[in-house]
Amino acid sequence: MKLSKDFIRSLILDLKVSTSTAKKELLINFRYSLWVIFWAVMPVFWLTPMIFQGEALIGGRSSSSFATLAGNADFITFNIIGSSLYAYVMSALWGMGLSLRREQWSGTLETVMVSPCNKFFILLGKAISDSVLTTFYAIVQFILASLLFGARIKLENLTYAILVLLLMVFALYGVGFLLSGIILMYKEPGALLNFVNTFISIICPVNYPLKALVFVFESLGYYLLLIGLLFPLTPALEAIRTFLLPSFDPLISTTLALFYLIVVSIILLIAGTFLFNYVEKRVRRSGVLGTY
Amino acid sequence: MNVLNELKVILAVTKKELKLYLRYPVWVLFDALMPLLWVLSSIIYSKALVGSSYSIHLATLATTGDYVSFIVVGMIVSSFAFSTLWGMSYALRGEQWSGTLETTFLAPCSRFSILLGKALSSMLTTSLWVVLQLIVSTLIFNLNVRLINLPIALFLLLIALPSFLGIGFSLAGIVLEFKEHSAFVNFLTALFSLLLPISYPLVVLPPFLRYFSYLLPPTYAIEGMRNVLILDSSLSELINLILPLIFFDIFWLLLGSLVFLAEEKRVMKKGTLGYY
Repeated sequence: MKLSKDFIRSLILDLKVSTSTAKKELLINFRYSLWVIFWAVMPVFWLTPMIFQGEALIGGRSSSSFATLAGNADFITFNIIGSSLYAYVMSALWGMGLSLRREQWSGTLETVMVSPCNKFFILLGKAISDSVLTTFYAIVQFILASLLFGARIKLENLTYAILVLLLMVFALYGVGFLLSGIILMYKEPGALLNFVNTFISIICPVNYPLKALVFVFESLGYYLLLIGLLFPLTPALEAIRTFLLPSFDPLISTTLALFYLIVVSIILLIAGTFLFNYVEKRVRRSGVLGTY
Repeated sequence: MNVLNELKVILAVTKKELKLYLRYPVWVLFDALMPLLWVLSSIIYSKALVGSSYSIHLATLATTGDYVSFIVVGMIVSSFAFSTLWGMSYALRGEQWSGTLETTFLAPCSRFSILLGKALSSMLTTSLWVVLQLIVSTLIFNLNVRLINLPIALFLLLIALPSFLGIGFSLAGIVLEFKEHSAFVNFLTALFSLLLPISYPLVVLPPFLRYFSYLLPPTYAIEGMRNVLILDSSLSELINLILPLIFFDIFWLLLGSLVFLAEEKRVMKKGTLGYY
């Protein structure tokens, strides 16, 4: 009984660490209001050329080839959903992945690491603040893009789509924890993150249906498709598009996508936590925590 | 000002920059791979939309339906424009990060020679990645460009370069004053990607945006390069694109130099050159 009381008390304290970290991160972010506006608006600038390119190629918003590959011919709504959700991947990579590196840049990493708390909860706090910010960015992006180009979605299924999105966010937390550990160990991650970022946008169905990989690369496309399926963004996009896009034909069933997202979230969260704890101990022991 | 000495400065800075660049092999690998991935992504997207390698609608808008060549040529020219944007804005910011900006500014040579040396090094590396882009696109997507017209294309690029450099000079000046360059250049890159006819012809842009496109020199360079490499146009047929390019060369070189000199004078007077 005593044990469980102690456990609860310690958990409450740990969660306080997370909430204060999240609060601090949000405060810092909103102190740079131009950056907040930049990240909210810029994805629309990246999306717009894709839409103009599509219009130049097919002369409207409906593509029969897209319909063959994805069931849905409306490439504009397909793209708006894809790029809004892609914001979460960017956040996992550039936000959470870089969160400890940023402490290093500010010269506060050592102070943070000697604080008397479980460091995992600091990371969790950073993940929470990133999720709040990214959700804000994704909503702004979706609204702006819908106003400019008109998204045609099944609004009645929005709640289901949000539930899938939450599952994807948990899985991406795991990716973020893994990256934090790797970056803590190897320091400068710019080139790696840029590459991973672009590679994910190619093998996951952000701008085009998954089947397009097979359509373009034939047998090699199957391997790329399989790699793409492993990343949590793909099943999440497949399930969310099934809920939101009329007549969307997913490559994997929604049940399978949800099951995979749950399993992969658990695996990634456990692996991420273990790796982070391991790296934390290793950099402390080798004395390279503060090395730049 | 001794021209020969200034040329030596340009070459020395280029050599130094290339040496520094090659010391980070992961970044070199990244720079080589990324343009390929961007081309790849754009072509997969196009093929998913069109369903074949020929777009009838693009043919009505741009006199060619071969979207692979259309996109690859657009991306190649824009690579040079973007590399100038990033290279020139980072040129002085990088010196600031390394703590060498004040020392560099004390060197008894023209600041423009230093900037030109930095621009030349980024142009050289960009050229290398562009060649790689051309080879891979030809091998994978059967790129169909008239290689025999390559000398004319290079000549056109040479006409366009001074205007790119002029834009770069003004950016370098702005960075001197405002320091942090990445948000601004990121914004400019995104704006250029939207306004330039990289992966679509200008006619698909709303008319009010098209006016802004015509103010950007890379627009004429991209159009000219497409005419030469895809449509087999001769140099005389490109005169309506070359004349605006020459105008923009003069305009941007003058404006860029004035902006840079004014900003340099201002930060020197304020004593904020070394501010981080």
